[in-house]
Amino acid sequence: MTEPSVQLQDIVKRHGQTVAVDHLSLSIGQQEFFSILGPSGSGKTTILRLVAGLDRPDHGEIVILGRSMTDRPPNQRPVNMVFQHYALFPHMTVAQNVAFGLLMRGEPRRVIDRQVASILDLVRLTGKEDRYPSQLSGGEQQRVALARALVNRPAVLLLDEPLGALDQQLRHVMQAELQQIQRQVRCSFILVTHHQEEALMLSDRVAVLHRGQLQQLGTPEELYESPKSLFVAQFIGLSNTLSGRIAIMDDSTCTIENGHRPPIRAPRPAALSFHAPVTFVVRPERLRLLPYSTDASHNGAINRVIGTIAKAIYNGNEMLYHVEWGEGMTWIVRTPLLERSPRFTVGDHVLIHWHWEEGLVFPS
Amino acid sequence: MCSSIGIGKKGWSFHHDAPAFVHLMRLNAFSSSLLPLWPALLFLGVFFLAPLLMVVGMSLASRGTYGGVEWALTLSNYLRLADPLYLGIYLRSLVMAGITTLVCAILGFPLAYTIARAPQRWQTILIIMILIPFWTNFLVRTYAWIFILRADGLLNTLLQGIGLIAEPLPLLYTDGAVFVGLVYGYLPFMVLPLIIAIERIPSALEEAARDLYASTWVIFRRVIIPLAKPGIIAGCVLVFIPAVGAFITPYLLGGGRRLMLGTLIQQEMLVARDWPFGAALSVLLMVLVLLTLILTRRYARWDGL
Amino acid sequence: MGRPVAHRTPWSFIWLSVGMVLFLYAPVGLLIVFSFNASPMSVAWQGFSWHWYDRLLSDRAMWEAAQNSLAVATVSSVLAVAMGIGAALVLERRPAHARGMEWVHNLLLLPLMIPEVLLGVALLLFFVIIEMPLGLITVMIGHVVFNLPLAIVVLRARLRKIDPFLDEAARDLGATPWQTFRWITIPLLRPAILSAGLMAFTVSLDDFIVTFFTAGPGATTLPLRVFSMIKTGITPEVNALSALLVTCSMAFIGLSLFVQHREARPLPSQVERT
Repeated sequence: MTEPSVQLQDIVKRHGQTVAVDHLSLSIGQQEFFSILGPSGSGKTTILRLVAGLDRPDHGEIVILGRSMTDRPPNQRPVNMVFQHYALFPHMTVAQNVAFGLLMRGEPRRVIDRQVASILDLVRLTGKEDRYPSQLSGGEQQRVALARALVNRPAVLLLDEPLGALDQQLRHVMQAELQQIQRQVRCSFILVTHHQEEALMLSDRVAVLHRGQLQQLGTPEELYESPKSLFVAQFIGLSNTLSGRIAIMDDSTCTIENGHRPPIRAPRPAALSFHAPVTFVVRPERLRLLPYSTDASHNGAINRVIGTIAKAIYNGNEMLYHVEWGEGMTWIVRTPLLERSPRFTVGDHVLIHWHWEEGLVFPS
Repeated sequence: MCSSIGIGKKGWSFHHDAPAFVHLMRLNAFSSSLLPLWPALLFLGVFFLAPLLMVVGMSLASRGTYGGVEWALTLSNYLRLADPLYLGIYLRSLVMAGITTLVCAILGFPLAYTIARAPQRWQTILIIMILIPFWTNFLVRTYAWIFILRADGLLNTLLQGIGLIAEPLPLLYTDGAVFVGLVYGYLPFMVLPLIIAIERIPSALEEAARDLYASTWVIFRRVIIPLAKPGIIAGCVLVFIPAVGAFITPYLLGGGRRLMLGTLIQQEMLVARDWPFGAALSVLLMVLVLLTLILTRRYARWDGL
Repeated sequence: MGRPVAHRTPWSFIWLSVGMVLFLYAPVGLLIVFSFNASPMSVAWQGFSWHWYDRLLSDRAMWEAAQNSLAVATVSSVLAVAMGIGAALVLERRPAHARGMEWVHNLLLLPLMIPEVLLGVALLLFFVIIEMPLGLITVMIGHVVFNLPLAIVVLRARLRKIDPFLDEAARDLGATPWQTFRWITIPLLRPAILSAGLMAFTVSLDDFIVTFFTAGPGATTLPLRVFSMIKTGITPEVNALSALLVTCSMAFIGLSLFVQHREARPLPSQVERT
């Protein structure tokens, strides 16, 4: 079971002048829930179409279950796809839609009936066999699309923004369902989405794509905690930034200066020289707020800046503060609503502080 | 057999720069989806394009002594086109087609507007009512006017019956008769593209104009007509082209002596049997039609017809 | 949705429209009414009679012409639709971004745009030059020339409404190109195929000019018959024949529009999308 289900080897795909996929190599494990995350136009849908055989790479190899599939037409590949807008056949009932793949493969009637029934049970659509797609809700259509692909027992299931057309609430329900189904059917899922929260919640591993190039590949935690580039840091989660230059460096830390603003201590980035232009990034939930007061204890490991609350947003379980500091810069600070945590209102002077290890530094 | 691979907007076997025929040649496994186009293309190539080219070829030949065709290259047929006798006929055709187009536009616009802005149920019924004459037998529709206009026809009988006239009026075989026949025949061609164009104009624009103090007349002049322009031009082309090459109407309602381009061509081809000259006249008509199409291509809107 | 109520349309427009519709229908309507006139000569009404229809239906030449018309209409509409499906698929599913494709598209639609006299003359010259005897076959060919673009237009309009991803979904689910065509494309296109066929059939049944130029002896169709009857002198029989022809084409067109109207309902995948 160590053989990867899908391997992309140095894939290049151009659409006219633009490069949709740029020398991409990926390896996806069996039973893995893998997500491809990127802004629109980053080439993520193209990757799915290449794996499905609906598009053909200009360069590179596509290997599925150890066999090269680069030149195989889509109907000869052991993969199935859930299309973005489902692409359910409007002239067929739910059962006919689901049976389509088995029918094309020439399975005997009895087998088809049994498998269709069991897969419809899995996606909780029993009783709706004779409905037409137009008579179903968005969530139900989504489940038909899922069943129609899964019934063929693909080695890999491809999902192209499968939850994109659903409203927020239904989306959450379907996310949970998707995860549960994946555990039950035990095939690898490749999910394409631009919704970072979805990718982080569902996946074992996530590939972040930008302009056809792989930015970073890792577990959700790795991507969030230690992004390898400014793009990943900014694309995943909220982040506060500050650009400046490296002023002081020692073995593990550096100090960043930006004009008249107070210098900030941060982990030392590898392979960056003294005075290099950098961007400093820190997550809003890693910042703490204190009421402004004359400084009592000084600790070199803690960064402190003085700011003013510009906006205070009550979010139910947390407060979101927009804090202005250092000549028109606004950072966001997220604080959980604990019983004893201090609350601030607009106009309050505050102290933002954080341990130097919480920051990230990237070359500009 | 069917275009299934790479159907999306990002089909791969088609690059943006090379002309289509290059791809038509390259029938490999992945571009075989061009195959279904071939029967239609071949059929029209042989039975439409080739005949048109033969007309051009024929127009350069000359008429033999015994009425046959001599395949000697000559421009004499084209020189004959400039004969004042024929010039008058072209002019007549152009003027008749022009006036027909204009009248159809003026009559068709209010009709199209009414239909485009009618409540849904009425709209469907009215569009079908316009489509039916569009598709029904043109010959019969023209014949109906003979029945009405001839000396002992419906109109004369009626007028005589109520004592308005003593003698039957010469209504048939006049320019007026041809003109009525053309407008009657081609009015639906104008109305249909107009309906489509007007329907596309959001009625909120009219409301906005009204809100900004525009009168009904100003709304039409400054909002509806400018926005419906692609449809108006498409309608005008659809009326002008068949009208300028009309055959049935001038033949039946204009009588033998009131020739237009269409009837002149028929006469040269079938009566005078001067095929080279008939072909030259056809080329003239073809050039006229192609010019109209090319000149209006940028402005007219054909989709949705 | 946002459709203005009727009273916003100026009354003058509405009355003018009523006039226009009357103008479009009255002449043919009168023709039909007077086809039941008992009088052999004048237009004065002399009582209701089926007489002219009786005479028409007992005319052997008329039956022959009807047979010819039906044969031409059937063959030409079937051929046109069959070839049209392929062409429409390629044209619609492959956007005309190559310059050459645009020319292909223009060539395919040009027969609808040029005056029919041109088409008739060109075909006549063509058949004479290649020494093909004029007859029913040449008429059928001529009719396919104008029915093919017509079929393409109708089929393309429908294809435009079908989600192109359905084909891909079928391929992804293991269907071969042929299976995709058979189980997805054809069923979804069926109403348009029917409607295009009916329309082509009607247009062929009604055509006079191309038939006039391409028909040889023994290939008389109903419109040719009408024409020669008009030329030899007006008898009430023409009215009866005209009335029959008009009724036929109205029925076929009505049917075709009905099919088209039913198919105009959006497909589910589109409802979801908007």
